[in-house]
Amino acid sequence: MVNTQIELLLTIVNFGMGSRVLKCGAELGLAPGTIFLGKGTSRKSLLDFLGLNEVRKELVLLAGPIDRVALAMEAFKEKFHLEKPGKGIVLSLPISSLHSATHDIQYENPKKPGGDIMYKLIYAIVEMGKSEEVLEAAAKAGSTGATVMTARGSGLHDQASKVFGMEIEPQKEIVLIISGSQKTEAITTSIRKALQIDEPGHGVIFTMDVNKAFGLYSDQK
Amino acid sequence: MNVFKAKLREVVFSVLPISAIVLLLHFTVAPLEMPVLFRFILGAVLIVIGLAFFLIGVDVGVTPLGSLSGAAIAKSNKLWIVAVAGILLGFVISIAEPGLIVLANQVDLVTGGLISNFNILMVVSTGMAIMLVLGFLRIAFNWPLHILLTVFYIITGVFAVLASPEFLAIGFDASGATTGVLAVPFILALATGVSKLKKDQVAAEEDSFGLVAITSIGAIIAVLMMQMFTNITEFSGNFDIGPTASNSIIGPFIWVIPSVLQDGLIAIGPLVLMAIVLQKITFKLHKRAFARILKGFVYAFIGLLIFLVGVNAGFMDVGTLIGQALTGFSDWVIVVIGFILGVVTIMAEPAVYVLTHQIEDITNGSVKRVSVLIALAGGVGIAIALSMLRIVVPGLQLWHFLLPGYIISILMTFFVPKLFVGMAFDAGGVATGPMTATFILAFTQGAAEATSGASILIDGFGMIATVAMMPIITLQILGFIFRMKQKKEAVSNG
Repeated sequence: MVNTQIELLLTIVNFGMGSRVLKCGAELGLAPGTIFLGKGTSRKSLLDFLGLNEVRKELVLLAGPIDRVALAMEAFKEKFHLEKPGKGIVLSLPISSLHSATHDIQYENPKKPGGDIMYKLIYAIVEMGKSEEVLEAAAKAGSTGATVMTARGSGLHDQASKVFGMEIEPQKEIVLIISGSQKTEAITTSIRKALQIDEPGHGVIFTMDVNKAFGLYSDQK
Repeated sequence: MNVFKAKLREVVFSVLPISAIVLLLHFTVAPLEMPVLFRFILGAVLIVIGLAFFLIGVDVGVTPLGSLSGAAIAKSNKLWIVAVAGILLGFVISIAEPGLIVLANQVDLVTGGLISNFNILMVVSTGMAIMLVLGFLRIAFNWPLHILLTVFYIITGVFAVLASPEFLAIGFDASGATTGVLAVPFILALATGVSKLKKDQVAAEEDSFGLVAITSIGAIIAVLMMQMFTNITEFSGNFDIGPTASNSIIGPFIWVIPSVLQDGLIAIGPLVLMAIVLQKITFKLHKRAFARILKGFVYAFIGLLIFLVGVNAGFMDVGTLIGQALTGFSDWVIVVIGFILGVVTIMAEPAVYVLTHQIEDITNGSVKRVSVLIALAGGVGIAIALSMLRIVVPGLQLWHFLLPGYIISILMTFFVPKLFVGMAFDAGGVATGPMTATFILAFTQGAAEATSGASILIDGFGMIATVAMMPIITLQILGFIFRMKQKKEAVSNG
């Protein structure tokens, strides 16, 4: 068991680029990785009006020691032109342990990263079809874009049921929002209020600290 | 405008091959007159723009509507709702298909009015609607697809033996006609909507495909049964398919607008109406989400119009002329050029684009779009080559291809990964879209007309049946390769 600081690397790129991110990550010693599909939404008014504000995205999860992750972030930024708007986002999140064929790391006693967290990742899991309401509530509180994924799952309040011959699990949507640290509280509050998250069976929200991020533009204005 | 630019780029790559081949033929074996050539180029430009709009519309409007409808019907958990909704949907889809109306008129014509176009519309729609319900229940009750396909193809085979060659050709063409540009994405999404509810993800992937195939068998069986009950043996088949005798470049584009407008309205109207009704009854979507679906239909409509104008006014004549010009050459030239045209035409087929993307989406990218496209293009290329062979070799008949072809297809379903069975049979319906049904049909008919001893009706329509069959085989072969690769990887990963 190694004791070193580790990070989770989340890369969101346009559809079709995921495999290249994965390959690039593997070359830098971050493997294995996972790709899943999502759709990015933005609130630019013209695209919204035209109904063209959804773009297919691929999300890539990689993890590894902090120095390698930092290296990979710089490499991705360069290689996938993340400095240009609309190309993608890469961000790193602190994690406490990592176990796989290539890694066996546990990071004890993470030093509290004081007030220098610039971004937070908001993770909202809601019922299928409710993502639109989440996006609206988030936009009201100042968020400018999000990534939506479909998922399934059941909790205490909505369990798998049987329809004809097939067992079905309730469908969920996961909304990922990256926001400036100061706005995070306002955005989560707005979503909680709009979707009555505090009632049973209405969903879950959690937030994570983002160590570092490239490819975000909205907060620079 | 990122979305539009990205779509445009993809579409250009799918229309470029066919344009390049036609230009190449123009400078080598089949020179075209200047107005025809200019119309072709203008047509290609319109097809690119139209396709881009249409495909955005499918993404934003048609697919979400299909997926929502499928899920809503399944969640009702009541058999009678599935039956009633399935029948209604089946009718809406088939009535909304412009290709079917054209086909019904042709049948009316060749049977001298003994089978009226109204009759054939009703019969084919009923056949499709019943099969749609069955296909739906298959997903819900986990009936294995390959067993169902085997049973229904055996039934089809029995009727086919009893049918006259003309009706055989018409029947298979009907199945191609009913699975058109709008029906395919909608039915595909319908199946995904139901199957993605499933807890079992492997089953969900497999069951996302196959509904198009089952639905289109309904059309074949319906037409073949119809002949049994009407006892028609006389056919007065002769179409006026001469190329537009015009030197005007813009003219033909304007002349086709009224009929294309009508086709577009008939196709989109019922779906929009259905979207509104279902939104009120069951979806109850957020108004932004619903507005986006309606906007999607606006894109699909505009795109379809531009696309159809381009195909009908720009591509049709070129197809006929190339077909006629080639008959002066030796037989193998026609066969080879038929193969090449088949390969490049299928890439510009809208429903093919939708299917390959759907496959990528559902398998989370593990089955690549390009590999499916290669298998599909190869299959259609072989199909056109076979059709040309049939024109130049008088003794060959349609069933000489169809019978062994379908026997092989059915046998393969028992060995191929189940995901590919559904995909392959769906691809058969998908391959026969507006590009094949206009450009390649015109090409085949041109070649048949200029060759003594070939019948426009039998050879022309039979081509569509062959195009619907070959991709089933090639995509299942892809399935074999896919599985072998997976096994290899599993071994090497230890």
